[in-house]
Amino acid sequence: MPTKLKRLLISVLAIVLFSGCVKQIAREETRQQSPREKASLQLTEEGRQLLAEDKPDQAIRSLEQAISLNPDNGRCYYYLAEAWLQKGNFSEAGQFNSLAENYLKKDKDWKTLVANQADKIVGLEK
Amino acid sequence: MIKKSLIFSTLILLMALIGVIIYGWHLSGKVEGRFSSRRWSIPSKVFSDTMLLYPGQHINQKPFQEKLDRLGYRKVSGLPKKKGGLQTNREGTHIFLYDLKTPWKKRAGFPVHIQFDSNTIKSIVREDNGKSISLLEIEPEEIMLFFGRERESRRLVSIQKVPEHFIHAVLAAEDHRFFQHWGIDPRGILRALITNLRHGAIRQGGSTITQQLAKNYFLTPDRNLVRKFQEALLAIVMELKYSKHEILEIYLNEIYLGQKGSVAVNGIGEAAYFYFGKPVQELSFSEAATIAGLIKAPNHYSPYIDKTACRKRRNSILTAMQSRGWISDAQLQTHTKTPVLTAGYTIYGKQAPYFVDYLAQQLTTLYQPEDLVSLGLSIYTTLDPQVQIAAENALRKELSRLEKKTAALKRKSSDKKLQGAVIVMQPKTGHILAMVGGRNYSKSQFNRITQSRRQPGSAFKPFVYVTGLDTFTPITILSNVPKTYKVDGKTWAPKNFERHSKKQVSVRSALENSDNLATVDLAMQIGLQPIIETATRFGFSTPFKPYPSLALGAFEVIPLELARAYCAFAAGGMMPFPLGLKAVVDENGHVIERRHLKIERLISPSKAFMITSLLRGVVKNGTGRALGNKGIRWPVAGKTGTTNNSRDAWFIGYTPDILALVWVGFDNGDSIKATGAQAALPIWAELMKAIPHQISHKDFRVPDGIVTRMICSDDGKPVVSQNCAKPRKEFFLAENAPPEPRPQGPIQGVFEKLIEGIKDIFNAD
Repeated sequence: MPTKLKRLLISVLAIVLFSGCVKQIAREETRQQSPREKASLQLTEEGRQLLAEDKPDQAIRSLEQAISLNPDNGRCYYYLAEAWLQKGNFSEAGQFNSLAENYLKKDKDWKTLVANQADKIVGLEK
Repeated sequence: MIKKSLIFSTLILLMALIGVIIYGWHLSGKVEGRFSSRRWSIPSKVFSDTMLLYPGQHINQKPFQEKLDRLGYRKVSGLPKKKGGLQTNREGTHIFLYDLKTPWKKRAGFPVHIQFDSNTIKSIVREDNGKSISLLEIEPEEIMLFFGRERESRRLVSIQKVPEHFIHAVLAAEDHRFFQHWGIDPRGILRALITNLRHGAIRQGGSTITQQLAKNYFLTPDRNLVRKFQEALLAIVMELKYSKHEILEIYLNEIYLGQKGSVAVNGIGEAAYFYFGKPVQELSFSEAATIAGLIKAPNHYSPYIDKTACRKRRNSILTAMQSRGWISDAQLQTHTKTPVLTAGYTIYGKQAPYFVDYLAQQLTTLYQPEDLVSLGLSIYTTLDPQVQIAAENALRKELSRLEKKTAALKRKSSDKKLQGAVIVMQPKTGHILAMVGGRNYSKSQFNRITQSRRQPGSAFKPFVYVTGLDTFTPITILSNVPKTYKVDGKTWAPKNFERHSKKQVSVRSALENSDNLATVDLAMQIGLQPIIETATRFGFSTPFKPYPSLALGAFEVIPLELARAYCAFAAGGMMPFPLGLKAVVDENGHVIERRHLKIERLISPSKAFMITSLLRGVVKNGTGRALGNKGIRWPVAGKTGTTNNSRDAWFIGYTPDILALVWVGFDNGDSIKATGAQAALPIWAELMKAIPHQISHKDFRVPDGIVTRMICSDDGKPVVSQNCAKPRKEFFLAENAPPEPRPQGPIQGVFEKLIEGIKDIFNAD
């Protein structure tokens, strides 16, 4: 292969790869949370802690506030399902679990957690 | 003879004594009955939701400052040192927060500095420890009180919580021998008698605190000897049956201490907040003396009425306290020099009256009306007062603009005026943030959001389109030519609003431009019964019938049901239960009722997204495109609606965070001579611009099950070659999307990837 053609091919390849890298960086940047999303996550964490303290009603309140700030915050729905499980309402838990599944299926760790939660709900419903 | 008259007198005296004992026993039962039963009627209070603040949040400063004012924050010179203090300067606002007390959270007040960068919160810093705060919750606003006939407001205070200096101030003002006498005080009566004789007029009363309580609690305000006798007897009975502290506690919670508009301020708990904006425990010596001084003549010595008289009276109480040894000389000198600084107050009003009526209707299913005015319940709601005020203002302003623009819309009679209604909801939670049921509540209490039934017109069309999503795609072609339909033996010939419309249109175009003929064509292809089933599933209580006009929104619906149904599109197919009431707390702080968000899956997230995508088109290119000219520059999906002869004008618009429905019309069905885009849409835009704190500006999330294809705008068909001059991206349900175009050559693919990559970099925001 002539050197000129080789150089051309390497350049094109580099451009393509570089564009891919920049694309990746841009995606990482877009993934940076907005102040509203951060506030929503803080409320989600509050909700999680309240659940750990066995206070599902207070937890639901924090999680509702978290949703009002960021309706796409999938973790909220997961913890809402947990809250309803604590309250013994499996059908509500199921509704929120299915929502959590919609939002968290692209996150490997969360996907597993949501799937386990779904199994737990099914098991308890029986 | 003498002996006889002595026996007679003794008998009479004995009989009188027996009479007094029997009467005293009767009174004893009365006192016991009154004291053991509920002593006071405490009105229930309705609270708004709390407000969340965080750095980076967009906020309109003026409404925010007005909110702080409604919450009772008052401007002070210098940095606020006490709860309720506020100082605003160029750098931002310094606030000494009140305590936050909700069924979910309790937090003591602290000083905070909120810095703004234009209309964005730059930072929130605790001023007592210098720490940054990432999320701050501001206490709820009191939006209404359920008063009984007496219109009394009261906050009960336990005697254990009343500071000693306050008790001393009251005793100094009213009855310094309270702990020495047994209900009536002969020394006090004698002293009052001498004082009054010396001045030749009634200058001093001899009533003890117990007598005052007996008078207020059991007797009419008449002044005669019999009543005075009853008062004395009751006082003795009360002293025999109850401890001094019990009597004092009831007295301090009972006494009348001023007037807040038409509402009486009773008891020291309420008075402490009314005059000084704080609980009794936090009152200073001079503040305690001010309130104690009011007992004699609350409206004469009120610091809100006559500051000089108030100060004079307060100082006389402080002097009396010093003379009894309850305060030192130095304390007297200090406190008599202190100015009387009041907290300021807002007269009880009924904020969000239509919302409160809607709430009251729900509450009456839980509580008796007499309980609401007496049990002192705290009712927590989802209302955002800033959104409520913005909705009321937008409706008022735009209805006036319409009347100015079209003189034919003006009506002389106030009950026939042009009307409007607005409801604002969070689609994911179902929280009702604002509800305006009409233009002027004082003129008409009819709630046009919850009580009216109006034809939705084209605002109903999304329910036709969602029914057809399994078989129709945005590029399916519909017939848009006039047709005649037979209904119950009569002919029905729908028309398009635009006279010159295309004969064939795509599904997307039909919804964007609200083509009636194409929509009826779609409905007839889908079948009317499935559309009725969809509408019923979406929560409409309307008894729909399978008439073709169903597709054009000919059946009347309740606006609240329409707003709720649209929430399902905004919330990825989940329909929320509309929530106004969040919790009810009894006077002891126990939560006795809780309402959480409830949702129901109606359609798949992908179908909900498809409708949202079509309704985004309505706002970008169709009948709702005027929104862009009105300063709405973030992603909105929405639908206009106009009924026959312009009887109703609608606009329902939503983002992922918020949904608002606006209706404009006359109650009697007169034409408003304007479309939904002309009459209702401007109200929506005005409202949204006023509430930046509720809007994230985020775009709608594309869920799984949605694919995109390039469509050629010229023929509306999928792009298959490079010959298409105007390609555009279209969304499809994965299950009925057109096949992907054939793979292109390798070099072309590389460049496309390169261009896509660069595009993505610039589009990333």
